[in-house]
Amino acid sequence: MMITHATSSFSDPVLVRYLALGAVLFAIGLVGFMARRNMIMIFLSTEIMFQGVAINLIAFSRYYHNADGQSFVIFLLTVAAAEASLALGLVVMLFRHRQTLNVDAWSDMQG
Amino acid sequence: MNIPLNHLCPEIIMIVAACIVALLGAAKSDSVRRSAQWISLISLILAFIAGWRIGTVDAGPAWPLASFCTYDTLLASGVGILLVLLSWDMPFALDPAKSDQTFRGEYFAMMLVSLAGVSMMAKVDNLIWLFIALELVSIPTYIMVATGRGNPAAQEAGIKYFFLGSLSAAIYLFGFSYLYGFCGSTDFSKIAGAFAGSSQVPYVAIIGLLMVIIGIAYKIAAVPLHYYAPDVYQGTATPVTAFLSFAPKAAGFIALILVFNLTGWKLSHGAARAVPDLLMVMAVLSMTIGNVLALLQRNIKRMLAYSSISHSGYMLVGLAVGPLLLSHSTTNGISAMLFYLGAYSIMTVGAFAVLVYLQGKLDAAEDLDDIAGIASEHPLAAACMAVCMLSLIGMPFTVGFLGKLFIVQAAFSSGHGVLAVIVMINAAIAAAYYLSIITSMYLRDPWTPFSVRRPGTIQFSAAIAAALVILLGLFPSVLMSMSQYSGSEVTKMVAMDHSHGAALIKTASTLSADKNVEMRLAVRAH
Amino acid sequence: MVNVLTTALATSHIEFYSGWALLGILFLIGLAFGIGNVVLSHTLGPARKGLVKDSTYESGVDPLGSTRERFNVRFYLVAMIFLVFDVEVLFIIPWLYVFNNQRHPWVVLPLGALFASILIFTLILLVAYVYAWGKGVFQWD
Repeated sequence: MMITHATSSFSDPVLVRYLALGAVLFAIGLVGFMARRNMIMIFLSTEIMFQGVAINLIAFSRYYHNADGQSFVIFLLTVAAAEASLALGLVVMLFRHRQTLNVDAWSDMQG
Repeated sequence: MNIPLNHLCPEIIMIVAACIVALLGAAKSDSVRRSAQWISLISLILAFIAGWRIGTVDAGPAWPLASFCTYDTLLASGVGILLVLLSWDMPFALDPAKSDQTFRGEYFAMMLVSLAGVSMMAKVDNLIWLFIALELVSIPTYIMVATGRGNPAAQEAGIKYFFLGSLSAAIYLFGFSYLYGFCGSTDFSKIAGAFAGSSQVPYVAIIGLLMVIIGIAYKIAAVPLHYYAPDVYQGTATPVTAFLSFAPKAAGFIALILVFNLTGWKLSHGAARAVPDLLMVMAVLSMTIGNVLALLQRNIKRMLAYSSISHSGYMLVGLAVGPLLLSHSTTNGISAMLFYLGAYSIMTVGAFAVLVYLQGKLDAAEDLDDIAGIASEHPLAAACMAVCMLSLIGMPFTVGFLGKLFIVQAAFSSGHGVLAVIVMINAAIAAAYYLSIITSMYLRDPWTPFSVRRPGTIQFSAAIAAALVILLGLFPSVLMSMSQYSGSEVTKMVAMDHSHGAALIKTASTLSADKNVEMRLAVRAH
Repeated sequence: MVNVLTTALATSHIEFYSGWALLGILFLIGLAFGIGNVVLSHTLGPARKGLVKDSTYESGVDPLGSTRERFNVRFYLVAMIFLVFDVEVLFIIPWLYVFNNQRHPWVVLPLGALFASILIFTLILLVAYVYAWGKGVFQWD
């Protein structure tokens, strides 16, 4: 009875397309995060993951006809912007130090 | 947030102080910037008093998590006071020649913002707020790690911490989006209503929960996302390490409690069984990996990082066995975990305070050889360190002993005897490396003479922590009653869970402030 | 388009055009702002001649040469400051919508509290701005 409600949101044919898009974006970002060696690319990969989450939230927001998901996305974008400016600052600081953005140049500590 | 504005008083004090301190950080004269510590200290004391006063006023049914929030606020501001004291001369100048050009104001502002996030964590009642509070704790710590000191190791720690931190944020956000997708609302009461309304938790919500756990595992440095901890703890300045061992961990555990609270803790049957199973696997792996790898370390900060991973494992045991057996509240896993969180925060901050005190030069006092024989020259610091180490081992008459006792008790009485045994075996392994620090301080000859000229507040902070460790070990009633009240408050829904289904749905409908949820659930059911 | 025409036929001409007049006024203000700025900077600004001044303007970058050049690091600082003030719009637009629709069921705060909330919001942004100013972020040299 109540379960039909819960499963129905994920079996709605239109909604599922958006959810698939969100999941694919998230997976692309995750793979990029693992595979890339350039710091800016790694950072962009995490941004792609955030956008996957944002698409999920917007899709659910539309499905349920409430604004919760949309307001979540506004806050998500704000935090993503804060992290972006932090990443820029970090990258500039690191580049000044070693003249490269390859993460492998920053692996002195092991063990 | 539905709670009245005056209950947010401690957080408002901290944020306002952070703004003032940040603005002072941009001031030209160094004497103005030096007031940053004093303002931070005073604001945290005020926040502590405010939190205490709010906690003693009975808020009634309007604020169901009053003790839990009070405990969180007192923990954040109380440990925050110790952290401000031990980072009194932070941060070190990036360039020793220009010692007046430090980012002192910025450092303390970031610290206050992060502590405000910890303090706010228990008060959130919405997934959006939970996300904001978690990031409010994390983002300042990224800055503190990278700028805490000017060597390449700190910068390496900074990138590792930042990139993995945003990865973990993306993971738990994905989990949040599925929780929202399951319930159709980000409001906690409505989510709890949806969970209570479904007789079995559906797979999507379980996937969401698992992703939330994995993402938050990063904040608490538990196993799937623990591997950053040794590098980051070693690389960054010691006061920042002390901060990292407290703030993200407390925030992460409180966030996990809140998330499980949403599910009504009814995760022990069906596919939802995966959630406590994952927690137990994480707990066992964190304890064992943390303790075994800590044995191999020579660097004290790395050792304490692995110790931090293993203590997260102990606390995860409390969370995994959950709020069972409510009649004896000390055996409630959540109460035990909250007690352990408070105890661990005090003893680890004390240990780091001693390390900060012994740090005569920029990079000294990190190796076991560096602290060899310091007991003769710095008896008070060595004694504080020894007390904290004994408490981390779990010796009787310390607060760490009681913490482990409650965790083991909770695990046994909920029928997870194997977990309890693993905790005890791990405590025995851990004794080896904690004792190696004590023997190094007391039994070995001095390696290098230390010329320590540090602000007295650092030793003061270590002494307070050590005194608290012993006092709370002998007279634990304050901490115990606070954690018990908080634990039973959080798990109140479970008492209803044990009753039959009809009462459950009735509870859910009273819980949800908006009756529409129930109606919508009913409509969708047809 | 058809909708607009039918509404135009249904209502009186004056009402119809007064609705569009707002758009016209907005357009005029935009035009005046653009032209005014160009004229003002021409008349009031200092006029120097030189090799750099006479070359093509390309966002502060040398217009000729490789495109894979490194940017001056100050551009990143400006980008960071820009982000602060870019994102605030995300919050101000929903706030404006709520402020304008007091009878909407989602609006739970009274008017004064709504106004106070945006004041506090701007105050916090102002702290960031003053801090950046104090740190000398806006000085190019």
